[in-house]
Amino acid sequence: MTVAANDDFKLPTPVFLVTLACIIIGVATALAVDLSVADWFSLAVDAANLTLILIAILVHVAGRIGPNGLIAWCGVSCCVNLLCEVGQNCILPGLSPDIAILIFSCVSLVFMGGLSLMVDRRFAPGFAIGTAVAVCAVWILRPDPFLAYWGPLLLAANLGCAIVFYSFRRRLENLVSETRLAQQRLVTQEKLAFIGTMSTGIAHEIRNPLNLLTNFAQSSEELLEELGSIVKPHLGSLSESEHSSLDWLYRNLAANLRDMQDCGRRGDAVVQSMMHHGAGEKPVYGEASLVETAERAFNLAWQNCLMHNPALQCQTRFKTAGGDIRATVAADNICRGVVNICANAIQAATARQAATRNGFVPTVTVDVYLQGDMCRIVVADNGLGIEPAVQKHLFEPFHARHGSGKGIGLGLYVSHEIFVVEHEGSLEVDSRPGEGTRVTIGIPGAWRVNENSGG
Amino acid sequence: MKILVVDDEVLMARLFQQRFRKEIQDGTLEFEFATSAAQAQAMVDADGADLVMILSDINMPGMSGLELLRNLRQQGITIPMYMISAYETGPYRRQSEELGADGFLPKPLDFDSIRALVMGRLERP
Repeated sequence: MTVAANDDFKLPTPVFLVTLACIIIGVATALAVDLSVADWFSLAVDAANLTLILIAILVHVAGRIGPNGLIAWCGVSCCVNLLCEVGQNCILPGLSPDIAILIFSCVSLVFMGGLSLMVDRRFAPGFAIGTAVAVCAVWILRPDPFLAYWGPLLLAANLGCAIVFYSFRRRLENLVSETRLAQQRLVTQEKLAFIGTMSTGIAHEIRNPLNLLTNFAQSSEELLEELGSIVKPHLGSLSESEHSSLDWLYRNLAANLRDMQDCGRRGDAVVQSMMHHGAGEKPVYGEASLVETAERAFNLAWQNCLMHNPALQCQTRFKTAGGDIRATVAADNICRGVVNICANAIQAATARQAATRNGFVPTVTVDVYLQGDMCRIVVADNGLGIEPAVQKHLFEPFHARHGSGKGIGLGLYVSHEIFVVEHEGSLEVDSRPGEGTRVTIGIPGAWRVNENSGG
Repeated sequence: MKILVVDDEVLMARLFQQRFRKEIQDGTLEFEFATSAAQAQAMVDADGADLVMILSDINMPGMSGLELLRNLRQQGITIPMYMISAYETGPYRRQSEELGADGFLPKPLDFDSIRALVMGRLERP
């Protein structure tokens, strides 16, 4: 993943240049006229300025404006304040400077203290000292109306630094969190790739001896039948106990060979399940239809289940409303994840049918819809449900709940990695033993197209 | 009718002999076995004229079944060749087709299908 360049670092912004120009104009004006110290008008302007800055910070924290917006807002506010300061000294001279400076200092200290804490606790002493120096400068220099302006200027500079640091901090936090996400996604992809390679490798190594085992058992069954047909005409020459022993041996050998073939087939079902998890190569992200992907996955899951159990009977329903839903995703991985969940649902529903046998109709539905920018794929079954003790471990690898020969317990783990970690979405399981299970997948960043189609 | 089976798994020879015992006994089929692609190549080079079919595993140490297929096709040898692999899906099936294989047999081997395949070949003029 690449981290996009961000204009938050492009400082100073034009707004700062304008602010600087205003300060220079303000100083030049101050030099040109006869100045007096702050009065009630100055206080009102300062209060307005501080309120504006406070609002700007609140709006920024709420996420409505970025760091550059914050700097621009504060810069303009400070600039206007300084100009007013200059103006009011020209227009309304003579009101109690000491009280004005005292209030100004207190407000400044509180404000700067709060701001420095927001930036970083480690910067707090620096900003406190900066503010104190600015306030002292105003206090000491107050008899000289012109020099008194250096105090507010220092404070403005201090404030500017605080805001710049704050914007840097926000940007760094974003960078760190983006890097962490990228790292997590990379680890997940590596993990999925490892599971893929491992599963395929093991599957291949198991499949070779399994092939021999199943075929030799089948061959031996045929050979035994041939042996039986040769021995049968000579059974009359055996004693009754010998005949009985031979019959017992023959029947048990034949049963063993059939069991070996059954075990071989069960083993092969597990191997196929492992190879299914190993299908993932490097994920390719691109715009894809989530409705089509979910439907394809549902069909694939149904075909897979049908392959293992040709007598499978289950009512299935796929529904969506309001047209196509698209998103930028790794569609093959999404498909893998949905196949896992649909296959689990079909197995759970048919397992309940096998357990009840009283006209129960196993049903699995898949519902795809858009909620805000989140595409929801809901897979619901009326199967056996999951016991609370098992629910705790649902997303842990190798916690199969299907029983022998039905899977290796990687399905939900892989699905969780795909939906939650890789796509930063969600995967929620709501299950009631004896009633059924409802799995809700959330894929963020989705949008709707073509309102008139679908259904 | 001579068929060459190529597989690094030595037990495969016994399995084929058992599963096709009747056809072998009545002289319908004759099997030859190679445990590597190189050995199979040498056998085809030395006495390939009688062969009517080659069944070859893909994953073998040294030369793979796909390389054997490529070599034979490059030499202009058009004996029908069927590739065997435990990797049922994925690129092997596609590569086999691209290199000129006549079919793909996934493991575990289904001998009824193989028998039908062989007999189908036998009935062709």
